[in-house]
Amino acid sequence: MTTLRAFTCTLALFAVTTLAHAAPDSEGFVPVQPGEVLAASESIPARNLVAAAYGFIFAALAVWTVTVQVRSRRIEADVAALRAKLPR
Amino acid sequence: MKLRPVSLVLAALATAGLLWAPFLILGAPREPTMGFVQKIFYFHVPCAWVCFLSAFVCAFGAVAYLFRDAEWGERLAASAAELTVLFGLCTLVTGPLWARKAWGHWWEWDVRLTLTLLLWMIFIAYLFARRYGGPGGKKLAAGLAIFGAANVPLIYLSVSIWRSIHPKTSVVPTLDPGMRPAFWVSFLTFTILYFVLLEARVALERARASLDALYLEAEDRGLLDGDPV
Repeated sequence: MTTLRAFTCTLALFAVTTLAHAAPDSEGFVPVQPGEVLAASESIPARNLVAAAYGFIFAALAVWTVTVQVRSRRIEADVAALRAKLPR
Repeated sequence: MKLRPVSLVLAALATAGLLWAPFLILGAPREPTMGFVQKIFYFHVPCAWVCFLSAFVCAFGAVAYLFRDAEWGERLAASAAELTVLFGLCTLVTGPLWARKAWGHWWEWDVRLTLTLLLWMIFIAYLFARRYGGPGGKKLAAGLAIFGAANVPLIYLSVSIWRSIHPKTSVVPTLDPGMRPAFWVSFLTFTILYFVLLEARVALERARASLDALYLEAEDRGLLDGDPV
């Protein structure tokens, strides 16, 4: 009985797999029909991408340099305030 | 912030390089397959190189701090970690801008890209661990830096070991002679710039250390009670 059940299950599994393979592939390549007008493909101009890349690098370096300057000034101000309090 | 005279000379050289490089890049021959977008390569590769160099500098400082208890090592590692994050970000932003045109999409879970993102995240973790990790935070961060740097050779070799769509490491040695000046000027400029920025950042850490020492001195003398500076 168990053997029969296993055989039936195997057959069912085989049938499902075969049918699935036989079904038309909805994601396959579809040829262009005669007279069909294709939509223009999206494209970002290369100049914009290059400008964005260089712009980002310069901006990132500038922002980082400014943050170092700001942090440095803050520390210098704190050091000066503390030195003024400490008797020499 | 005061820089040494040699650093000022290097800063002037880096500035000149940054001004000169765009002209060389625009004048370099156009690559036939990728076209104009290939010009991102001239800044993308130097950014990646500096990011990797910085990861090694950070690990060097971390090793000095962990095994020799050297405070200078900790300051160097912290400064280099911040620069690793900065140049890593530039690499991770400029790469997808190139990929959008070359591959048709911004990001691919390619081994090199994924490992570079991982490297960047490790150094972000370093900065968080150092800042918010409590008393043992600096040691924990130092450990992270060593793991981060160990990732660098893997990133470099990944395109040779695994199947990858990222351009191979042979691109630079086989570069067209017309493209070489633009690339090497950019490469040298970013390397010089890195050392100038590193010195500026280390100077900040040094100033912070002297401020901490002053706070301790003021506290010992009872000057800070109820009168925060």
